[in-house]
Amino acid sequence: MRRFILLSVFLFGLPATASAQDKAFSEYAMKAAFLYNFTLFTEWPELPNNTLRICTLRADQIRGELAAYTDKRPHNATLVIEKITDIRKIRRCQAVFISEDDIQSAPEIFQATRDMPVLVVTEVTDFSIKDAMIVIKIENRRMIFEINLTAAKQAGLHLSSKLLVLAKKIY
Amino acid sequence: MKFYQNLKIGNKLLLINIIPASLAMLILVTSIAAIILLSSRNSLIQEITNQAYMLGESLAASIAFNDFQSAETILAALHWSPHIQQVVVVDTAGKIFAAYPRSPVDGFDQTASVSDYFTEIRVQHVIQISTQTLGEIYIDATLDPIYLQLRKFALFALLALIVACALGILMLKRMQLNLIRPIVELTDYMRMISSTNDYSLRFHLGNNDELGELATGFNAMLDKIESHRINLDHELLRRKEAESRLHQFAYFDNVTRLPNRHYFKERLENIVNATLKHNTCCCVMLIDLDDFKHVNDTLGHHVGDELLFAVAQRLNQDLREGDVLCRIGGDEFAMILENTQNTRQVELIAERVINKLSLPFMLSGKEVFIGASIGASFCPDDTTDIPTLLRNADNAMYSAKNRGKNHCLIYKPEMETKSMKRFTLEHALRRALEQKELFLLYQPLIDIHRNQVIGFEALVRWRNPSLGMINTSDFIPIAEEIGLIVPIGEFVLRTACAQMRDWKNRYGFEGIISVNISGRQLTKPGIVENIAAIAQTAGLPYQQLMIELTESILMDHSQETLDKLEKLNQLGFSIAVDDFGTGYSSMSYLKRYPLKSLKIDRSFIADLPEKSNDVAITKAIIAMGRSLGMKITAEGVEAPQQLDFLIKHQCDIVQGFYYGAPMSAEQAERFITGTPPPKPDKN
Repeated sequence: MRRFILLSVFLFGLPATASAQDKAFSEYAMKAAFLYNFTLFTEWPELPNNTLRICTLRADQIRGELAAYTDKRPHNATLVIEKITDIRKIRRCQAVFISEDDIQSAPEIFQATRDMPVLVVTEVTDFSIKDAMIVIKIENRRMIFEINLTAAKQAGLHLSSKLLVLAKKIY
Repeated sequence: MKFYQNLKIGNKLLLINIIPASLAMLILVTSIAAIILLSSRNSLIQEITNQAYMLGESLAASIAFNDFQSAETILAALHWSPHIQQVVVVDTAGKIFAAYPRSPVDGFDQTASVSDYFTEIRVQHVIQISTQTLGEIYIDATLDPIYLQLRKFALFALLALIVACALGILMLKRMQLNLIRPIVELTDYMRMISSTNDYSLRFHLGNNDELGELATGFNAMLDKIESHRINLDHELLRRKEAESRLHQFAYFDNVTRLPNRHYFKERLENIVNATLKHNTCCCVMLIDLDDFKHVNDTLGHHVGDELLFAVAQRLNQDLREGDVLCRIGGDEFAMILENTQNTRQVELIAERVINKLSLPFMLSGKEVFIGASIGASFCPDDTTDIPTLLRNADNAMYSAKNRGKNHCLIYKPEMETKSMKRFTLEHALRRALEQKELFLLYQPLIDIHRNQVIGFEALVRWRNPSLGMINTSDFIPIAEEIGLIVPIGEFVLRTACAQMRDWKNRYGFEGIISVNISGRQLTKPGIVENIAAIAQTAGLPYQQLMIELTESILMDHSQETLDKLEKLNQLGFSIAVDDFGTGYSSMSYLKRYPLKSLKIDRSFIADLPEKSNDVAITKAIIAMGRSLGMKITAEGVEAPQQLDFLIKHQCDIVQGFYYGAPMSAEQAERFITGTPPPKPDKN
């Protein structure tokens, strides 16, 4: 819960930074690409119904970007982009993106996904959402990410070493 | 090729071995290099492909998260690879995402193919994650390190090749030594044989291989050559013997064992040349035997041969060193005298020869007398031309013969005319008979006791229209020599007989006709029958024909002559000895032959009665003749003193100018008819 809050703070803080709308747009496209790519380097214990479900909450912008990937078949599974409104349903997602807009829901989300093989990706840099497995950051005008390997292991997810290599930080 | 042909066998073998081996090794090395190249290339491709795959794997995340820094870090690690030249990573949009080396490649063309198959390779790999294509990676790699490796390999192979060749040559040389040594031995032997010509040498090769067979073959060949050579030597020896025999035949006379005319000519040429060169003088002497023909005809050829041999022996005794004696014709010998000083020396030699040859020869138990006529000519005094020299000597010799026998003359130019004259005479004489140039003269024979003509001696004369009267002494020897004496003798006999017949018919004259018969005539077979036939044809009783013979005929003592004379005697012909006392007579023939008459030679009569010697001889001959029952005729009676002497000493018959010179048949008729020309009164 605390982590969720932290994440939310982080995410809310992001729009506050002086960045243009179009830049924010391409930033989401990039983040959508990152999110999708993360699923490629992640292994789940199982994919129910051979479906890979990437869920978003309020981050409609990123969801819109993600729609571009629906025809792809990561891990030979059907990719489904889903907007979650009921946090309890989040457990059936394989990946969740917590945007800065979702920062209040963060503790709930973590609660819901605890010990579940759900890859939690966030753009919130707040310390409160340190339970997220991957944090996407922008550093020196470059998008980077950090990995909480402990959380991922706890969730029973296996992150590819290639991904780990690229990560700026690993906890 | 020429170079190869001139090589020794050993080196040829070496080349034959080394070149293919080297070639094979080269091919092997090249093949290995090619295989290495290809397999290296393949493994490089494999390696690079792997690399591309691994890089793709590594770079997938980088591309996925647009992390070119990490990509370049990954790529930077490639500097360890010696092969990779360039790596280009492009994203799905075809944009270059990362590259190695870091400097971006301008105009990198992913579609461009690698320019050279053998120097570069390019591997292309699609970067995927899951089934998602993220981009492509292009790796260009160079084969240079492989070539470097190959170069090292080639260098090593070359070294190995050289070492192998060296070792190979060493080993081949060792092995060839065994193979080639016999060949070299054979060659050396052959060289030795051909240089020394010693065909008795034989090969002794231990080998039992083809070379051994070759050596055996050579030995067999040498056997053949050697036996051939021996045969050849025998043959050559035989030929040499035959040649020397031929030489003997060609250059030597079998009868006298002297060199022959052929040799004489060669030798003369040499000696004349030497004489001219050394400025000395030489002499050719021709020796002709007198009366040899007579010996040959009367005693037979074998005696003639014996005589020739004996003459040769005698002539040989007096030969100086360097002088050459040859038999150059039937009875003709020639001497070549070198370094003669003067004519006197030659004359002395000739005299000695004449003296030696005038001694009697004992042949088949008989004494034979001959004489020699010698002619000599000097070189270069007379001539330097060999044919002329010979002709000169010949002329001189004939002149000597004409001078009477047993003479030697040295050539003088005027002899040429003499010999020309002789030639003319001979020529004319051959035609004299048919031209009826011969005729007879008759000289009366007077019985001094009854002072009455009892017969005539027929004497042949020759009158030639252009040469005039020719002396009997000039043409009779020629006729004798050329054999014309036989027909001339027959002519005389026939004419004389016919004349006697005519006189008998016309005047009833039945005297004696005396005819000279030469030795040559007498030796002719059937002469007795011939004489009888002629007398018979003429109708002349045999008793009226008297045959006059010279002493020389009677000296040969042959049975043949005896038989003929006996037969003539039996037929009734009388036989007289003409010119008695002049020959080298032995008196034995007087009792041997049936002789009716002796005619004392005119030389004894000429000086009667003054010369006591002649008186003694004449008296002795008359006494001897009478005691042997022969009629004695004196020839050449010219003076009444001679006639007186002869009458006093009871000579039977005379003839001579005192009563009448030889006269024509018409003149002679006057003697028969009793009206002789006035003769000098004996008072």
